Amino acid sequence: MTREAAIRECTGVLPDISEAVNDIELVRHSQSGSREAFSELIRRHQHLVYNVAYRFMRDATLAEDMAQESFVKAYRLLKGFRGDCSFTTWLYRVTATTCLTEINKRKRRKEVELTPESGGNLCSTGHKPAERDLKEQIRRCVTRLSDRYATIVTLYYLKGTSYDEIAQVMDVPLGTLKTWMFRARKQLRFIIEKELLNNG
Amino acid sequence: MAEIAISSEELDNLIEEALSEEPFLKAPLSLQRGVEARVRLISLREHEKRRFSVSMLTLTLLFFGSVALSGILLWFTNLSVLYTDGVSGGKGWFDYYATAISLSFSSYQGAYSLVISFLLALATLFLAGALQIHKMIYSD
Repeated sequence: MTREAAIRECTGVLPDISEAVNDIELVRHSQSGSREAFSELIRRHQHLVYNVAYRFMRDATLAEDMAQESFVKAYRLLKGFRGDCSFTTWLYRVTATTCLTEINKRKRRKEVELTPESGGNLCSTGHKPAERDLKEQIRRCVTRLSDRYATIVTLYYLKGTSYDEIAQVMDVPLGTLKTWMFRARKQLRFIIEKELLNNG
Repeated sequence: MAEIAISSEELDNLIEEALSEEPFLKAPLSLQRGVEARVRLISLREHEKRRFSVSMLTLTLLFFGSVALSGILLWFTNLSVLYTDGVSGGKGWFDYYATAISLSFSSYQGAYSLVISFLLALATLFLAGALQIHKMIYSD
């Protein structure tokens, strides 16, 4: 399923006449100061940005805050967008950077442990894994990967994001991305195994 | 590990399943409204910043322009010399009116107050209008 199809399935949004204007045109209008054009960009990409943010933050309220922050940052940085890559790719980069900055800030302040659902840390909950949704625990473990691995895993499993697009977001060659992906999976498996052992 | 005794391959499958099956969430309705409100604030702030810079620049230019103009006028026209020596009877003419006004000021106080009040009111109206025009020039 393509990303657009996934969004339409989730939101029930059908393509309308405004979809005829492509993102680049909207970006150009936004760069010349049109807030309406930027609103249209928000409308088109809000679900994607929210989902990326949610997968990093694993909390609905934080995800909304981060999605807002990402759009605001995108608005401020829009003048510097030259159209070398698609707007979606650029927005992924802005969102991922915003979320990772916040996560690192929280790690420095040791606030990561304070998320209500996580108890001890993002993966260990104090309950046996079987009692909790194991899949949700696995998803939470992605946030414990290093920044770039967390980013590529998050983007890869977001519906429809291709390796090419992720390579553009990360600004690395395709081969490097594949190596990173392999290492990220290995690291994730290690983290999950460790967590399962701790909780088992 | 009693309850989750799974092989490495099973774990890989489980990870793959967990990550690829994560549902695509719908963004909350408040997200777009929130972003739009913040974007509006940002553009207003930028607009005000621009307006302030333009105002300050205009005032600075006006100030230095007036100072320069006054300097040039004084330098080239040599007004003080012209005033004292250049116009025959100029000084006497000024002294006559200055003395006349100072002598008659007490008896015409009411009339002068009225004129001054009228001038002040005019100046206030002029300033208010100028400020309003100034706002209109730099607003959307």
